[in-house]
This record gives sequence, C-alpha cells and structure tokens, in this order.
Amino acid sequence: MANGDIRDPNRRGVVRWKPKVAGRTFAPADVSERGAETDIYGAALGAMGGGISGERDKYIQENLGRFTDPFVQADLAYRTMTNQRSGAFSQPQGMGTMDMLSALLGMGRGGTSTGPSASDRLALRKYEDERNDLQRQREALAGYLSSGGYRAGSEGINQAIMDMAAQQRGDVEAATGRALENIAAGYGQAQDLTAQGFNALQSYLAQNPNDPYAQLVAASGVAPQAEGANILSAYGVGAEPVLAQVAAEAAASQQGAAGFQNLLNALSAAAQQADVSRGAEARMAGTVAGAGLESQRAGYRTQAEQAQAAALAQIAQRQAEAQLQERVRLAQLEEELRRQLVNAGVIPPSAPSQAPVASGQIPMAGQFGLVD
Amino acid sequence: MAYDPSRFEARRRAYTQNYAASGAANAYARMLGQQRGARARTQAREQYQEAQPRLVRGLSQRNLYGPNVRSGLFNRAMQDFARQQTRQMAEFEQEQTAQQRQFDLEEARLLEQYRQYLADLEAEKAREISSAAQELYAFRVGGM
Repeated sequence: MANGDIRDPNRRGVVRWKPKVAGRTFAPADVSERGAETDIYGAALGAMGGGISGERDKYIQENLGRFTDPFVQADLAYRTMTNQRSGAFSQPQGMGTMDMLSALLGMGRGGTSTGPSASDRLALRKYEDERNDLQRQREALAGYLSSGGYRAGSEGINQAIMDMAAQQRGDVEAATGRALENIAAGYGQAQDLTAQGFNALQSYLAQNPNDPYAQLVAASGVAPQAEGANILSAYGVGAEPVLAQVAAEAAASQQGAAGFQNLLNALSAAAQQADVSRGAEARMAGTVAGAGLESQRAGYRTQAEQAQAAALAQIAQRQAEAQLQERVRLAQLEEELRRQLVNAGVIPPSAPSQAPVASGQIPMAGQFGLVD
Repeated sequence: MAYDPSRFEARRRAYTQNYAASGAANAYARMLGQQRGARARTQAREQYQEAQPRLVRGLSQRNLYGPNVRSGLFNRAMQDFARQQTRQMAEFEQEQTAQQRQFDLEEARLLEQYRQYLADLEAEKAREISSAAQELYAFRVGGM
C-alpha cells in the first residue's frame, strides 16, 4: 500500500474532520491521535455512503474494530446499523451490536456534550424497535424455512392430487368392470340366440329330409294284353306270335321301368347328398357363428382393457405432472425464502442448499448461520 | 339388419303357394294325359275290332278262308293282325306309363324344390338370427 493512500491507518494529519451526529459537533480531545482515525473513518464513511466493494470494502471492515475514539465508534455504530438494515453493509469485526449501541449511547462523553439528547434517545428507541421487528421477521422466515412450514400446504395439495388420481382410477376400474360385465352378458345373450337359430335349423333339417325321389317306385305299367288272341282261337289260328309279342312288350316295359328307377335312384342319391351337405353346412355355420362371437368378445375385452390401460396411464401421467409442478413450486418457494434470508444476512450467500424438497429433510436453524 | 320373422313367413307362404299351384297344374296335366291315353287306346281298340271282320271278309272273298278252306295265308294274316294290335296297344300303355312317370318326376322335382326353398329359408333365418345377435351384442357393449 503506497504512502498517502487514504486507506493507510498509520497515515496521520491529512484529513481533519469534525463530524456531526444528529446536528451536534464533537470536538476531538486529542486532535493528533484522532486525526488518523478520522482519516480512515472518513474513508469508511465515503465507502459506506457511496457503496463499498472489492478490496476497499474488505479493508474497511477489517479495520473498523480498531477505532477507539468514542465518537468514531458511535457514528460508526449508527451508520453500520442503518446500512445493515438495508443489507448494504455488514457489522465490523470484533464489534457486537450491543457494543455499537453502547457506543452510540455514550457518544460525546469524551467531548463537549454530557450525554445523548432526547431526540437521540428517541431515534435510538425507534431504531431498536425497527431492528427487533426485522429480527422477528428474519427469525420467522428462518423458522418457516427450517420447520418446513412452507411445505404444509404442499402436502395437502399432494394428498389432493393422489386422492383425485385414486378417485379417477377407481372410476376407470368401475367403468371397465361395467364394460366387461356387459361384454360377458352380451356374449351370453348373443350365444343363446345364435344357438337357438342354428339348433332350429338343424332340427328342421332332421325332421324334413328332402328326398322325394325315395318315395317314387317305377311301376312297370299295365301288363300288355294278348289283344285279338281270342279271335285267333275262334278261327282256329295259333296265337304263338301274339304271345311272343306280348312277352316282348312286357320286357320292353320292364326295361323302361328299370331305367326310370335308375333315374330315381340317382336323383334320390343326389338329394340325400344335398341333405347331408346342408346339414354339415348348418353345423359349420353354427360353429363359425359361435367362434365369431367368441372372437368378438375377445376383441371387445381387449378394447376395454386397452382403454382402461390408456386411461390409467393418462391418470398416472397427469398425477406425475401435477406432483412435479408442486415440487417445482416448492423448490421455487424455498429458493425465494433462502434468497430473502441471504439478503437479510441471516444465512451466508455461499451456504449450500440443504435441498429439503428433494431429500424431504428440513434444515435446522443452526445450519443457516444466524448472525448475532 | 335386424331379424324380422315376418319376412320369412311371407316368403314361406309364397313358396307354399307356388308349390301348391305347380303341383296342382302337374296333377291336372297328369289327369289330362291319362284321359287322352285312355281315349286313344279305346279308339284304337275299336278300330281293330271294326277292322277284324273286314279282314276276314276280304280273305274269304279271295277264297283264302271259308268252309273247308283253311289257308296258311289266312292264318298268317290273322296272326299279323293280332300281333299288330297287341303291339300298338302295348305302345299306348307304355307311352302313357312314361307320361305318368314324367308327371311323377315333375311332382317330385317340385316337392324337392319346395323343400329346398324352405331349407334355404331356415338356413337364412338362422344366419340372420346370428347376425342380429352379433349386432345386438355390439349395441350392448356400446358399439365398440
């Protein structure tokens, strides 16, 4: 540090400063001794008034406790407290709040004044009240954070989210149950109807075989007569050729009957085959209809179960989203609380987050490093 | 399509009516055929009966038949006459028998067709009941 630097505490007699506190001028008892202090003190005031930062801030704070001058201490205490309320300046090292208050109350005892005036005491009282209020607010904020009180409403919201999801899941389960009941009952009805229809068909086919050709018999017709044979005998003529003709005609008639019977047999066989085919068709149709109904039922059940799964998944997703939103809100709230406590000087800015939301643990009051 | 039994009953009545009409027409045609056959046979027999004396008279005029006359030609002519009559009457019978068989066959065919229609109707009814059951099932489960 170079000579002549205003921050050098050994530098003397450069700045002569008679500060005024509450309109009163204090006269230093030993000007030469106080010159150095006021030198530094002036620098400190300038720093506090215009805002301090960096090395100067650190330097002033480290050396403010070295001042022994009552006036300097009192003025410093007042200004420090005032700045501390606004968070612009921290308390000097080695100097408690009560020390500063005492310095403030006793300021001027080494000077021309005999004690604080009534207005000073009023200002001090006002300051104490405000300070106490601030302290209570800080403690309340710290307690709100450390006790997890800010989470109370969140637990209710989480419970409401879970209750709502449980209710919705119950509704979905109930709806799916009703759907499955309808599917089962509808299947039973449809199966009964289908079975009745095809049973009636098979019963009808069994009672009404369609083979009218089986009832037909190919009659050989009227036996041919030996027409005129009696006349032949009357004339004494032999009837052998006529009888031979009768036999030939009878044979032809038999052949015709046999041919017709063959035709009937073929038609009857075809009709019986058609009957058998129709019966098999009816049974197969009944079987296919039953299988179709079973497939339909399986399809309906699958659809119902898929709809249930989709609904449950949607409910779970909405629940997770709602819970995540609540967690984010909690984290933001906690961060805001921490920020306010840091700004108020209750916890240091570098204090690591206790992450009570993630872990579910609430940091204790001592972890915030409360000052004074 | 919803199951409607009245449609089937209407079709059943139509089939029955059609079968009855066709069967009646066939039976009537059969009766007419029998009549025609019997009439033709009777006429043919009468013609033969009328022709027989003329045949004998003609052979007699040619001295092929008479008292103490008995020729082989007369015998042959009379046998041919009787054989022809027998054959022609048998043909009438066979023709009428064949015609009656045709009517029987037609009657059987009509009956088979009628029963076929009724069986088709019953099968269609069963299928429609099954289809209606499926539709009702779909309605019951909410048209999924």
